[in-house]
Amino acid sequence: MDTKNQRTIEYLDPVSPNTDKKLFVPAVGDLKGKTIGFLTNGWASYNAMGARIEEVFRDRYGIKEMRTYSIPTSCAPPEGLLERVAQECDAAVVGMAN
Amino acid sequence: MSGLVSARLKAADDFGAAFTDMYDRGFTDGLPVIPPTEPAVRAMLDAGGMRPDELIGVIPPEGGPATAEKVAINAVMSGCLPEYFPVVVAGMRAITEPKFNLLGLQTTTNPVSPVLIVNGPIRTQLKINSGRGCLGPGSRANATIGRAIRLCMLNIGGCPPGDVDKAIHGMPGKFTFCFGEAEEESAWDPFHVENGFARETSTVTAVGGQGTQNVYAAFLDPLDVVTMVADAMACYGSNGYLRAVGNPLVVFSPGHAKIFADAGWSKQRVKTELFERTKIPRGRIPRSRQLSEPVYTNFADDEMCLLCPDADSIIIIVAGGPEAYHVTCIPNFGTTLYSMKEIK
Repeated sequence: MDTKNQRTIEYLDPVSPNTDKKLFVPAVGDLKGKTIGFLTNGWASYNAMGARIEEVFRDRYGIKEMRTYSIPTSCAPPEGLLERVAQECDAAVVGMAN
Repeated sequence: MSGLVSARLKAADDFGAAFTDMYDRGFTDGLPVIPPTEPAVRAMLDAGGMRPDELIGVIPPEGGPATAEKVAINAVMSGCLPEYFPVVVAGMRAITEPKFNLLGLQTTTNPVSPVLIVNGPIRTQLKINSGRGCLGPGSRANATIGRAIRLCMLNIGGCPPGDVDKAIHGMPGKFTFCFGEAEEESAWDPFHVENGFARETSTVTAVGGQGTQNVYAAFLDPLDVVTMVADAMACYGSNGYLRAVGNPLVVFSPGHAKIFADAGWSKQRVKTELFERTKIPRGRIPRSRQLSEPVYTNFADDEMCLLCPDADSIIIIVAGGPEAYHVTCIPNFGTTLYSMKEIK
């Protein structure tokens, strides 16, 4: 009995606390002079969106470079790709566009 | 046994109210669940002989650690009996193998879901249905083992439908999809034996299936049966053709398996006949611009598009009622390969 006339049961939380700290990195902040990676998995819609985003990133935010990395459609990134992106870029965006 | 570390939540001690509480917190698939009380979770862990902090796998997209405790909690919720827990654990190990591409399954617009196939003596011990209606309702083991995997994907992987699970339509098999192979009724070696396991070993296999396609193929000539089945498999909108990868799954009844075996057809022969008939000339697929780029995009009109890389990639399971009437085809997501784990 937990509160007046109200029986309660206690159960265990089924949700996992996310302890994979690799998923959390500090925000990149100001984009000026930064190299931005875009990961695309082959959706043609990305080609148009990516080009426009690159334009905005260059003209409005002054990025140094945008690099595009390909992931086969519907696949996980090839081994070592994410590490390469992390080495070569200041920030990265998953440009799935589907 | 070390302590359980999960947060303790409270709900009114009334079945309907407790379900509503868990539903409102986003813990369910929409169907009623059993409240995972500490004694129930401990019973599940005891049945598996596992410590609560044992790590079974990591579930994308959130990277949630699937500890034995969390998996047991979700198994209780799904309605599993404690003795089902080793199958659930093996199933979790199977779906977290990198080759299964669980991140893709969790987040894709495709309706794909893990399809679990159980082999070995544990099928009879747990009364896992491998006979009539094995893909449908009625068996607690089939229903709750498959559902436990789904709840783990939801709660441990952080993948609520609509928000993170982007399936455009989804499909009913995303609630649960688990069955056994009718090994005793089959004329061929069961799937786990085909994969190098002893017949006395129990295994669970995860396959990335998009749903079921029924084929009425009440023929007595094996060639006619494979012709009908291959026609259903050769749906050129099937994901397999996009990259010519994956494991299309075909479930034959014991009656159909007998027709093949009586005619001297091995399982390998059936796979080969199916594979050859699922090749599609590029010219049959429209050439206008697509939103993604399949591997066949620039093929010549007479070049063949493949559903999967080779005949061996087709999985054949014998299950269901005995009549040689219906065959179930389970198309593959494509970029996922089946994963088989021993049940310990």
